[in-house]
Amino acid sequence: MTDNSREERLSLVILINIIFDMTIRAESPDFFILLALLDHPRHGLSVQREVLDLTDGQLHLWPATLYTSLARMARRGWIEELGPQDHPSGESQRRRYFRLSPRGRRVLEERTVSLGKVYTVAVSRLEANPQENG
Amino acid sequence: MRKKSQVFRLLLKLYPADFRKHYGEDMEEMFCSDLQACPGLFSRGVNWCRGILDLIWRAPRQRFSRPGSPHWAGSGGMASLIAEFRQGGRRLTRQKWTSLLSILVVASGIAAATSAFALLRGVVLAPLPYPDAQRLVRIFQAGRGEKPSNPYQRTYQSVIRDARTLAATAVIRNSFRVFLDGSQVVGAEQVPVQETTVGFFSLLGVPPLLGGWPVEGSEENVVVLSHRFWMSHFAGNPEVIGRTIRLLEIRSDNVQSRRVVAVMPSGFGAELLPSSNGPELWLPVKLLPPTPRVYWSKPVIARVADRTSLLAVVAELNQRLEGEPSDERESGSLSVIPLQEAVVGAHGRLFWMLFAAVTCLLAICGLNFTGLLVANLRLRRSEMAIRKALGARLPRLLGTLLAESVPLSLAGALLGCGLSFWTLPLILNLTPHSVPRLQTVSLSSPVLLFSLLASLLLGLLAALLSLPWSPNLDLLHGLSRGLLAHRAGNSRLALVLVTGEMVLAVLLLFGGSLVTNSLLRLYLLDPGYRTHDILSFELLQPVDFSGGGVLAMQGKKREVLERIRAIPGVEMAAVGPVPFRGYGSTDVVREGEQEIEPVQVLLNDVSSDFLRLLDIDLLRGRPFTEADRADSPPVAIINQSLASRLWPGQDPLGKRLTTNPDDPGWITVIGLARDIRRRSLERAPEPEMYLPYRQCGDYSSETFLVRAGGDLDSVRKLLREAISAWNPQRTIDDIHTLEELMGEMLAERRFVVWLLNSFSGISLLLAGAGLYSVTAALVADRTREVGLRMALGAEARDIFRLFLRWGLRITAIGLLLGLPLAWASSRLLERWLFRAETGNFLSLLLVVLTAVSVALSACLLPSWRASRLDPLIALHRE
Repeated sequence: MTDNSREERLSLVILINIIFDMTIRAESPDFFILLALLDHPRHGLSVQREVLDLTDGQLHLWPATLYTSLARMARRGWIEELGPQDHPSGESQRRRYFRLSPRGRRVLEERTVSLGKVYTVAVSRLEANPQENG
Repeated sequence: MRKKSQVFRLLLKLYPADFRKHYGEDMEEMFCSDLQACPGLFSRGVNWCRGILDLIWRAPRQRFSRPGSPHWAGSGGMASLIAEFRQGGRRLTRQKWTSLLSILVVASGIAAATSAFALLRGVVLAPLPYPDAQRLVRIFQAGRGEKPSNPYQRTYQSVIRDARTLAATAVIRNSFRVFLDGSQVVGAEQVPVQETTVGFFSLLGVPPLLGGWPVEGSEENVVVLSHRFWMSHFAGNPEVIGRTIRLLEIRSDNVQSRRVVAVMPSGFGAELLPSSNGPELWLPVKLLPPTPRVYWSKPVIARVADRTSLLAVVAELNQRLEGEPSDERESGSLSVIPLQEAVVGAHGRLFWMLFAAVTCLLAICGLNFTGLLVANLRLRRSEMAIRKALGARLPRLLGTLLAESVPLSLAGALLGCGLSFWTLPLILNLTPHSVPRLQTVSLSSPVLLFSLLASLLLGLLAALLSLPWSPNLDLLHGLSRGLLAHRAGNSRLALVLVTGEMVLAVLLLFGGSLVTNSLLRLYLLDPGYRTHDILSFELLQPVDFSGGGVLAMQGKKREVLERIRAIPGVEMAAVGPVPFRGYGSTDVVREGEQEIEPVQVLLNDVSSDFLRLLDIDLLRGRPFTEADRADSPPVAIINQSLASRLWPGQDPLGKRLTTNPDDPGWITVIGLARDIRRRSLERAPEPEMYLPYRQCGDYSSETFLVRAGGDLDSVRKLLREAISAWNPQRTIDDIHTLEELMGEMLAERRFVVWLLNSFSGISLLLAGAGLYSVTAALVADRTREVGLRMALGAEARDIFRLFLRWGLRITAIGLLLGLPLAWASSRLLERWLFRAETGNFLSLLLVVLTAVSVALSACLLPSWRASRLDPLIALHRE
C-alpha cells in the first residue's frame, strides 16, 4: 500500500465522520455561541474555546462552521461586531470581536425557556413510566 | 505551519470576497491554533482534514445564501425537504441495527461494483494516454492462419506507408537487447526494447521529458530511454542526453553504440507491450528495401488523417493493395482496428463479464436494501397513515422514503468505497499478468463518481420500489393496526423481492458452476504427455555461435545435454520445444502423384530422448537415434493428425514429405506419434512433425527439457550451477516446471472461476439473509393465524411445513425464472467454457441443490420458531 492511498483512505474515513456530523447530528451551534457570548465580548478563537468548555469537549467548532454561523447571526442581528475602538484594552486590534445584542439575548432566553419545558416534560414522563420488564 | 495553512488560504477563495476579507485572517489563525493544540502528528493530520473539509462543506451555503435572508429560514420546497431529511436522519439513528445492516448490505455491493468498474475503466474504457487517441489504429492483414496477422513488409512499404487517409504510420517490434554497462558481458542485463521506425514518436504525439524526438536519417545511431531506465541506470541525471550506451543483440552477437537523444515521460508506451512493465528503450531502425524472399510481418500502427472514417481507410488500403503486383503470400486483405481495441483485445470481454456479474450482485444488494427499508417502514405504519390523513401527497411521501433511503445508501457508498481500497488491490493481485494496462487501474475520481451515482440510484430505486407497498396508507387500517389488512400487500412485496434475489443469485451460481466445471475438466484432461517432474529452460544469453557454424552449435548443445545428464537427480534431458510456449510452424507437402493442399504443421526440432522424456507414445516405427545426424538421410516422426491429413487410411511409415516443394529434400517418415495438446490444453491436437535437431540447420531451438525425480528445486539450483560452470558467459533466465507453465496458461480461467464463485457466494449469502428476514417477518405477521390454526388442531409439524413450503416455493420460482435466464446469458462466458455444455446436467444439479439448501437453512429457524408458538399466547398477540 503506497503512502498516497493510505492518505486517501484516511481522508475518506474522516469524510464519513463529517457527513454524519452534518446530516444526522446536524444541530445548529447557535445556542452555544450565544451562550458563550453572554458574559463578555469575545473573538472567534475564544468563542471556540468557550463552546468546547461549555459542552464538555463535545462540540468543536471548526473555523468555517464558526465564522459562517457568526456571520449569519450578525446578519440576523443576534450579535454585533465591535468597532476597533471598543476592543478590550491590551488585546489585538486586528481580531474581530463579537458581543451579544439585546435581540440575541431574547433569542437565548426563549430557547432556554423552551429547552426547560422540554426538560420538565421529559422528566415527568420518565417518572410516570417506570421501566418495564420485558 | 505556514505551509499547512496554505491549502486553507487557497480554499478560502471558495467564499465570497467580502466574507473572506472580513473573517479570513481570523479563520486562518484559528485553523493554525487548532493544529498547534494537537500533540501527535496523527491527530494533527486528522484536525487538518476536518478543518479543511469543514471549510469546503460550508462554502456553498455561504456563497449562495442571499444576503439578508436568514440561513435555514426558507419556507419553500427545499426547506421542507431538508426538514424531511433531518427527520429521516433521526429516525435512522433510532433504528440503529436495521440502518447498520442496510449500510453494510449497500457497502458490500458498492465495494464490489467500485472495484469492478475501476478495472473495467482502467483496462477497457479509459482512452489511451495519447493526444487524440481515438485516431490511432493498428493495421492487420488477412493471412493463412485463422486470425489476421501483422502486415507483410512489402505490403507496408508499398501500400500502407503512403496511404492518403493515414496521417502517419510506424512499425514496431518488441525485442530484447543486452545492456553492456562497462565492457564485460558476464552478468550483463537483458532489457526489453522496442524497435520502431522514427515516425513512431510523432505519431503517438507525446513530447519527450528531455531531448527531442529522433529524426529521420539518424536511425541506427540513436536511442530513446524510458523514464524507468533513466532513473535506474542514470539516476535521473538530466545530462544523459548525448551520452552513448552499448547494446548487444543476442541473435546476431552484434554490439551497437547508440547515442541517447530523448527520455520519455513515465508510463509512456507501457500498454504496447503487455505482460511486462513496458519497454525500457526504443531503438529507431531503418526498414530494408523489400526483397522477394523475405517475409517478415511486424505490428503496424497508424494515425488516421483528420475527418476520415475507418471505412475510408480500409477502402483505400485495399484498393491500393489490388493495384500491386500480386504475390500469393502477401495479398491478404487489410483491416484496421482502433489501437485501443487492439491493445485490450479479448480481455475486454473478461472485464465486461466481471462487470455484468457485479451488476447482478449490486441488484441483489438493492433488493435486500429495499426489503430492509420496508421492514423499517412497517414499524411506523401508523405514522405514515396519519401523514396521509393530514393531506400528505404522493411526492411528499416519496420524499419521506427518500429521506431514509438516500442517507443510508450514501453512507453505504462511502463505506463501500473505503472497502474497495482493500478489495481492489486484492483483485489486482489475482488478475493474470497477461492483462494489459493494469497499471492504469486506480480508484480515480470518475470511478468514485460512478459509485456515488450507483448508490444514489440504489437509494432512489429502493424508495420507488417500496412506495406502492409502503404500509397500507389507509388511515383506519393504519391506526387500528389490523394485521390482516396488511398481510396480503406485504407478503406480495416480500415475494417479489426475495424471488428477485433468488433469480439473480441463481444466475451467478450457474455461471460460477459452468466455469468451475470447465476448469476442472481442463485439470483432469490428459494432454497426451507427462506434465510433472519436468523442468524447462531457454539459453538466452549471448551465444557466440557465429564462429563454428551450425555443426559447432549442435556440438555445444550436445555438450550442454551431457552436463545436464551428469547432474544427480536428472533422469533425462532433451532439446526440444516446450509445450504451451512458442512454436514454429511451416507448410508441408507429401510426395505423390496428385498434389494436395499444403498442410500447416507445428515443427518440433528435438533430440532423440524428447518423446521418451515427455512420455509421448510412439504408436509405430522407431524413435530418433544418435545416428540421425546432419549427414544421414532426413527423417521425421509425424503425429496422427498429420498422418490422417496427408495419407488418410494408409500406413504413413516410409512415405515421404517436404517443406519446400521447389527444392524437395524429401524427408522420410519413420514413426507415428500420438496426438498431443501442444499449444494449449483447450486447442484440439494439430498436425505436428518432429525432426531430429541435428537435421534442422540453424533454426533449431535453444530450449531444453529436463526430467528429474525427487526435489525439483535442488535440481533447478544444480542446473544453474552446471550451466555457468560450463560457460560463465551464459546464464539461464528462468527455469520453469511444466506444471507452472500450465498454471500460467490457466491463470485467466482461474481468475474468472475465483471471482464468479466468490460473487455467487456473496449473492447466495445475501439472498439467504433476505429470505430469512422475510420469513421471520412473515411468521411474526401471521402469529395470530398460527395460533388460530393450532387451536383448530394443526400440529407443530404442519406449522413448520407451512413456512418451510413458503420458502421453498420462492426458491422454486427463483430457479424456474433464473435458470433460463442464466442459460441465455452464459454466452458471455463462452470464452472460458471448455466442453461444458450449458445444459450440463451435473452443474445444473449442483445449482439446484445449492439454492435449495441455502433456502432451507434460511427458513429453518423461523419456521421452527413458528412451530413452537404457544397457541394461547399467539392468539392474544396485539
